[in-house]
Amino acid sequence: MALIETNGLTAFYGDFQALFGITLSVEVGETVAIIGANGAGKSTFLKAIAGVLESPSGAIRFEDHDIGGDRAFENVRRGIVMIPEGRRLFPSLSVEENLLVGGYGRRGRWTLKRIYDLFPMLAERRHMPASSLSGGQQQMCAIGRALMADPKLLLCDEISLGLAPIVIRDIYAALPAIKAEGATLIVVEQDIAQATKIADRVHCFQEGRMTLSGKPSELTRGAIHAAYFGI
Amino acid sequence: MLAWLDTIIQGVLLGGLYALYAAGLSLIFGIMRLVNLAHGDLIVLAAFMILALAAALGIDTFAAFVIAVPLMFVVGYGLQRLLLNRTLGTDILPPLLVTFGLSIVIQNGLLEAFSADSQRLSIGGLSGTSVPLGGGIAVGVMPLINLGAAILIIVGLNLLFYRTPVGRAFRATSDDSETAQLMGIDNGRIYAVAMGLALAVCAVAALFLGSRATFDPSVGPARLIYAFEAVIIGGLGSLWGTLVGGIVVGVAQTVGARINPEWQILAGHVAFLIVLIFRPRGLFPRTIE
Repeated sequence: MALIETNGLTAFYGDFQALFGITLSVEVGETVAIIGANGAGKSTFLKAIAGVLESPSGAIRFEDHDIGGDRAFENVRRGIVMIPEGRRLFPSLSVEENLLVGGYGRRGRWTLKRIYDLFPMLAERRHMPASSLSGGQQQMCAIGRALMADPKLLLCDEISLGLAPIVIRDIYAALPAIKAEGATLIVVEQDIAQATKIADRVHCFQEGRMTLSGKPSELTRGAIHAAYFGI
Repeated sequence: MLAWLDTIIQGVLLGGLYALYAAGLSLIFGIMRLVNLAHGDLIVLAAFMILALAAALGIDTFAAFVIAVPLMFVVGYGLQRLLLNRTLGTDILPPLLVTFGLSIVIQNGLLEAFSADSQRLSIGGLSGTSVPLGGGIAVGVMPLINLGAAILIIVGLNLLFYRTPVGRAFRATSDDSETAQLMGIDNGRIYAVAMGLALAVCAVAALFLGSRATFDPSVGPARLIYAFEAVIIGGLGSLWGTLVGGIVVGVAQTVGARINPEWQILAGHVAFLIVLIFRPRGLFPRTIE
């Protein structure tokens, strides 16, 4: 069964059109990676699903309900949770308060204790301001904050951006535990190797259109490069 | 010497009233960066509400006050949801214009309904009761209750902000309203609850405003100025700073009045300007620029 489907999804920033009719569906329990160059519309696609950007009604269906045009806070309550690009922790809240505020709209199987088990580094710094964490720790906090809402669909927007390779490895090591709870993932990545390693399916975007889709094992390097750069 | 001590004690007590004027303004600015120019008029509206409820229901001022507090919460919630939420955005001008207009509407509405006559909230024997502190210094019971109420409200708001889920939601929304929505926080509702709280505090301020001296529909803007001065002196975003700011204005006014009765209001403004010169961000700034 498809958890989420988009049908000819378009998105605009004012007069600028960022997505030109994206149609794809994600099955329950699947991990889908979206790759593409800067400005390809990857983040825009996640924002449209999350409800940060307004979408035409009928363009997005979640668990067979039309959610096009619904606001972000309504979608969180349905279980669509986004880890925003750049982490966007709340600077005046402590690490633990950031995690707790993640469970404001919706709670579930994830508790503070389980987040701390997943990322022990956060437990040591639970009472420190979130802004005092290193980049990697901030990303762990942002992931933990999203998990507190017990996501059915977790949208990860460039969670490796600006982090050292060893930190990226630690963060991606947490994904199996998240998937084991039944979460479906859509991961936006610039790092093709990382994306193909974790994903069941890969979609490549270019200038607001989908140029390639398939299982990682079926996609040749050449095909990905062609879809990525459009040459 | 004792006379000066008395002056300062009376000033601190007056500061409790100004802190109550300012607490709601500080709360609203802290959460949604909205400068509510109708804040003073909303306090006066609450005072007339207490007056009208007492007259219509034949109850005393305190019973009417108990009804007015939740009623003002509802007024604030509705005002924010139906009107002010539509003005919030990246541009700071629309909320200023709309609350300025609201100030005029409230003043003229009250003028229509209650005329320009001076009114007073009757609190019976309490208005003249005082507690002797020795040495010829006495403090009024109502001003004491007023200062106590201001401290209680600030303690209460701090507990709400730092100990409860809705308080965390307030602070998260204040930090980054777009990301707060990704936590399932409905900003529009959070703002409405905040305005409801602010106006409930206005009702408390109104009780002490109306029982301390007379009021009429035109006195709101001056209350707004005192509230502004208290908030800025205390430092934006700090509720305890707001209490201190209120006390600074209050003490400056009573000291000014002691030197020359004509200087009361002026002295408060001068104290405000002096603080601005030496501490432009206030005494206890909390906001991060």
